[in-house]
Amino acid sequence: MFNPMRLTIARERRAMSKKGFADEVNLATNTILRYESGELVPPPETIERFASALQFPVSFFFGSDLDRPRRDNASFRGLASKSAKVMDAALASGTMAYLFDDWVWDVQKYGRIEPDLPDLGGIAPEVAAQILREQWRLGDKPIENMVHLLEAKGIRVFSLAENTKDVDAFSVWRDDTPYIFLNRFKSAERSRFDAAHELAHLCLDKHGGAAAILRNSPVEAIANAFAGAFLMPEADVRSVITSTIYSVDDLVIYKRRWRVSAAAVVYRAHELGLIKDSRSNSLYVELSRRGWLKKEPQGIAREQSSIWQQIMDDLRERGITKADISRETGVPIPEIEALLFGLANMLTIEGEGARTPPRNVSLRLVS
Amino acid sequence: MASTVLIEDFEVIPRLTEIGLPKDVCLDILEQAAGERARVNANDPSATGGNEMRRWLTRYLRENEELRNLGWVSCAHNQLEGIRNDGRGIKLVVLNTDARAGMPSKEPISVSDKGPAAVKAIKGNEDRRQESLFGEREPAPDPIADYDFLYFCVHASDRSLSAEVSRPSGLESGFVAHYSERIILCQPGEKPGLRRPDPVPEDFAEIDKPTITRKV
Repeated sequence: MFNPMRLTIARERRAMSKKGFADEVNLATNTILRYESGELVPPPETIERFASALQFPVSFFFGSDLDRPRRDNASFRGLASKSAKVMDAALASGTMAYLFDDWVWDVQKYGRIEPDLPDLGGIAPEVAAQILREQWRLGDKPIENMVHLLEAKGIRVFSLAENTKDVDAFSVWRDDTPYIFLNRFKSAERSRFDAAHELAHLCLDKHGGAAAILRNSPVEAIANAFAGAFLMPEADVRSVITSTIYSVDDLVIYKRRWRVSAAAVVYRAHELGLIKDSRSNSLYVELSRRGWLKKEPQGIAREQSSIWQQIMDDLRERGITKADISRETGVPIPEIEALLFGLANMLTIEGEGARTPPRNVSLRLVS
Repeated sequence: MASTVLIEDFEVIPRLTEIGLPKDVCLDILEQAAGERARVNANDPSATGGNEMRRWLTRYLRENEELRNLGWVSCAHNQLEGIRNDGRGIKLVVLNTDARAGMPSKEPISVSDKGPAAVKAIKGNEDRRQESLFGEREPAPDPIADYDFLYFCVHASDRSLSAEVSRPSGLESGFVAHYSERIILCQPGEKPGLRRPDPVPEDFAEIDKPTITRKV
């Protein structure tokens, strides 16, 4: 049976307005409204047009209601600058992630990692970062791989698709499971900071979400303060930055330790009073002049997932391809690829469903 | 040897306040300029370091809001680029010196010989000092030329950054080498030099990577 909710999600995933979609499929906007409200049921040939225009399989439009992150329950980094269309597209990719996630844990029966994330609402960000580090037994040392850490603590980490690359990151609680979606088109350093920023929202605004952010914009500043303190603990920063930071070249040396951007080191050092206002301003000016606010000097390697790679490897060993996943979940292959983009090597489960027949190869010794 | 050398804060701070150059402001400006100077590297022409120090110290002295509020304005009178304070009758110019800047026991020597304008300004300092010792002076036809002339002496190296505000009184072979008053802002070793910090160790917190298995 046709499910109107699935049509809405597919349209939002493509960042299309109702009018834009109506134009695309040569229908009146009002007709689309009526299809999406369930007032009308589209005939099969119309559903095929929808599938073609939205690049979703026809089967996707049939089935039960889908769990979808709500805008008032998700925390978007830099919310104010995002258009509703882009946010809805990102949230719809959240639905794709839920479908894939459920298939992995419920259908394929991989052992779940239970979330270990305290509710730190109402606690000052610096203190909250310290409490979380203590609970996770991290001490004051830098974190080598944020994605591995989040996964180890039961947080699901996914990538944002290219049509939502204006979104820095977003996070959401789905019942008791925390999710973080990261923009993998940004530098690895910034992506790490985004991950820590979203971690702050999950811990500090568990019951607030975007609605709280809209009402109270300092929440973003609080999440940034938490991220800075979590990635660059005060004790460690003070023990490492013992001399005056005169030049941005000094920052390159320091940033390698905390694996953050040069600008984040300036911000944190300034926050801790290790750099005066005037020095911090001139450092930012110089970072900008050198183009280092856009392209990190001596950038680090992008962080990959530990969990998704293990699962991909296991699926490959069991002969399960992307096409199989797509067929079983209804999530188009490009969507699955986008969710894991940069997190896991999906080439290992390449394939459109047809297995490559084994071929005899003749080897000869070349002397 | 300078007749007066002020070293400790209890004597430095009141004197600098008296001439309208708060110590913390001077040190802040020094650090800012050092930041700019630190961008010079081995591939720059040999005089670039000194030029950059003079350029940025002068600029930040001229741009500093606190100094402006204290009456300091930009001044290029007689081709001596710096700042002046009309209320106090003082002119201040940046001077790159050898490593003796900030050393209480030794007088800093300028790294380059001085032109006629600086020679005249230094001579004016001495004339005024002599005249003040021996009686009334005639007002000069050019009031700014008659201002007390001070140098913001600075030395920056990989190892150290040191500075003082000093009243020059004499030259040797064209190089500024003697002072009637020296006010030490920071001695060698007090502030880190321009050398890059040593590489910091990459030492990470231990995280147990989860192992995923199927429940079958």
